[in-house]
Amino acid sequence: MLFSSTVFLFYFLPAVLLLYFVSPRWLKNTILLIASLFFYAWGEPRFVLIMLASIVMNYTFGFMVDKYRNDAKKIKWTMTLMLLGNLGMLGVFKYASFFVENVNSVFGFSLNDPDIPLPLGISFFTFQAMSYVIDVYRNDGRLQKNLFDLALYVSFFPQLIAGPIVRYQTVADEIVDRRETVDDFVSGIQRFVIGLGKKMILANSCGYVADQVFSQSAGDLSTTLAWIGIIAYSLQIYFDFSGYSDMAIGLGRMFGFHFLENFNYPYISKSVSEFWRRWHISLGSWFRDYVYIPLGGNRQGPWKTYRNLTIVWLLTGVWHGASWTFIAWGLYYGVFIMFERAFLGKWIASWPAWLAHAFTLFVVVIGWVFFRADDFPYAIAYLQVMFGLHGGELFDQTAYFYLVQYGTVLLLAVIAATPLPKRVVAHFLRHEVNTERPILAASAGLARAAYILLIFGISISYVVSSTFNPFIYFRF
Amino acid sequence: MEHQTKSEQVRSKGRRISWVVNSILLLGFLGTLFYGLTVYAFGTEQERSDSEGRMLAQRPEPSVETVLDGSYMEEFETAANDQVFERNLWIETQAWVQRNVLQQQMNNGVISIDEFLYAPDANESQYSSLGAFFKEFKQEMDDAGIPSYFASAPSKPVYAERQHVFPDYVESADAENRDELHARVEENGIPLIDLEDTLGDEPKEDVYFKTDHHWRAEGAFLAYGQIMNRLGEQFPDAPVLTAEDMDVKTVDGTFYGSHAREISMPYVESADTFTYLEPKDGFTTTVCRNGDDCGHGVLDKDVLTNTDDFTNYYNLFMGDNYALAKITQESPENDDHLLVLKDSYANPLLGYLGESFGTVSALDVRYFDDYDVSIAEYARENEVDAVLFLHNDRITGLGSMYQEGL
Repeated sequence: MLFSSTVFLFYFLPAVLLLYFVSPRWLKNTILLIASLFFYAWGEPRFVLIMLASIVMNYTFGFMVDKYRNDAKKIKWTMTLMLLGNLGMLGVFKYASFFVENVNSVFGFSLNDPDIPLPLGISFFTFQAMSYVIDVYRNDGRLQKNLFDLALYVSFFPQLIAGPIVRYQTVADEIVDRRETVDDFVSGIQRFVIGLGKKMILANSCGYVADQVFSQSAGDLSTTLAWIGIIAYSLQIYFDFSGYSDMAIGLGRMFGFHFLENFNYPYISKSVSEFWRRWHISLGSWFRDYVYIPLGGNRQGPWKTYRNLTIVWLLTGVWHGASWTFIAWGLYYGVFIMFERAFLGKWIASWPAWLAHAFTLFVVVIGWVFFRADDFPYAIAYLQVMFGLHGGELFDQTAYFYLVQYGTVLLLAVIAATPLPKRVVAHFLRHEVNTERPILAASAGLARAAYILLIFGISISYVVSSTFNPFIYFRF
Repeated sequence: MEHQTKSEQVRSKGRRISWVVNSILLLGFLGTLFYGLTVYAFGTEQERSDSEGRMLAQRPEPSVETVLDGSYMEEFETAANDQVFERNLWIETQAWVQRNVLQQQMNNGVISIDEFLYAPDANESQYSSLGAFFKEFKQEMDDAGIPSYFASAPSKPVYAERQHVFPDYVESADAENRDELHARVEENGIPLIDLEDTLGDEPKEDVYFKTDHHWRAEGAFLAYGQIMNRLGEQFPDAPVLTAEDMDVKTVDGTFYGSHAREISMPYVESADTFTYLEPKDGFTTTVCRNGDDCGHGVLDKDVLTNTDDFTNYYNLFMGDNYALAKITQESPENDDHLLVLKDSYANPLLGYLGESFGTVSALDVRYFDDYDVSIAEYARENEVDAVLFLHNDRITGLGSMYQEGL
């Protein structure tokens, strides 16, 4: 079930809110757990069992870790088993086909593709479950003795499908003791609506352009059209993902949970390292805290630092998908981050801000070509078109069409990817707290409410319109 | 003391403002969500969407099997989308935002230019399967001694492209596709009746609807004249209707056609007035639909009693599309039998042809697969005197259907 669907907006969410807020405190977590399992089962009923298996497995590991934490040998075995269990599950469901395909290709075997369907959100809930066991091991979070509360942490529907990856220590206290307030609820509404607007109005429009461009053979594109396509994709992936994170954070807040931020205007970064501090923050911090630092981080000299960075960025690529293009995309960033650490960072810091910004955007946009392309040959051919190396046109009528038809929405998306709109809104809404001038304060408050409800209405119109399906009998 | 009181008053005002704003947001957000839930729980399901011209999905009944395999959820989502409250209002709001805020000139492939809606096709069409069909069909007809003709009406985008109606950024391969279709027809020896010769210079208002992809009855009548001029070489005694024989009648309601449905109302600048032509003494034919459903007229005036905005008045012509519609003159002026291979574009013209030929069989290949005979067998068994293809130039999708009908 998607947040941006009529089923979620008009059936699931109001029903869950109603049940949750009329329930006594002792029943609230149960309501949320049942709702979360229903939410997950709605899309893939059979995969609920896999998620439940993951929950029970990590619940058990939690107890084992707590029991054996002072026994060096046993705790080592427990943690190894925990890693094998979680990564094994992820490996089987996400990477088995990729593995078989490559083994066949390298060794000339003809092993059958296991063709195992990918359970929705498995990368997210597996990482969350691992975070629980590791946090218990490190005493960063207390052992969860209540299986249902742990199940709620892993399966909580706002962040189940697309993150953010909520660390156990972030919500451990709120799972057992939280307070829902009107201010939090209203703030959650605002955050949810902004996220829905990002997804429906900006991401989907940009996504349509990107899909149209990337569905064509690279050789048929003009240079301008290739740039339009990748810029549209860069905007789509940001607004899609950050919009979903906003909705998750907003929904969490409605139920009294406070998730950490996942995006912080990544496209205004002035270095690649900064970009990754602003992009998918929950994943970056997960790898930093659970992989990079345990490997030694940057404390064991430059070569081990580079080794650690290579491992982290290789895993980052692999986490995103079972494809060499994702692995290349991860390593691409790893290389830039190592260069920045070695010499490029200091050099970039001496550049004018606009140049550092342009350079970073350039690197990021090129990286998205690998992320979006189905395979390497297409990615390389696409890059050739972007740089005019294909011998084709610089500009064509199709590019002209996309500029006219989607120019406004692309421009709006570019502006919305910067903090400018937030600053402008904040500038006008600052009067809301000016209680010395109540009329001005009331006007600002009402403007805020109107703005949010307007975005909500337009977003719903986009949700419903996405199902518009006029029956035009054969058009001949 | 006085200062504290003032501070307290200021804080109180701040709390009241905050309370009001929060209440508006809560009411607006939760009100919308719960209204949707209430309509779902207690509302009556809608059966049909006039604006989309289709039946709406209904809430499915769950079973263990359909829940486990996920098909229940899929059907439920489809029904939830179709039955969402104020569906048309949401759709039109989105189109309004898209047009007026995001400045998108096209919606669902349709563009509005000077009150006319067009659906240009940027892609080059492939006519290889149609070409193969023409070759084989022509051979069969030659063997049976039945002449065949291909009457080709210009589609609205072709007309627009020739008249340079489209702005520079709009891609249209329609004229190119038309030329390609004609090449396939002529290279297989089928005489082409290019109706653009007659219609190409007529004002678009006289030939095409603003909001529908079909031509108007007046445009079809002009084309009828050109067709009869050509068929007159084989059927010199066939009577031909002239403009003086006809009354132009106007339907009371407004007409929003297929393009209006596709592009959505905020893009539609004006509705069509629906007109039709009828001989001063009325049509003299009756129609049998699909063999045994007889006694109909070439004009099915039942549709005119419906005055909803999205009533498809085009169904006035022949009632609808049928695999086989057989038009016979009540007092035959000749025993000539014309077989028309057609789609909906031909429907207004069939009534006029019925006045010229003792029998007109109209075979719609899109629905003909239920019949046991092939097109050629039908022509031979029913002693057809000539075959007339009657389409506009957007028939690339018909190639495989025609091949199956061989």
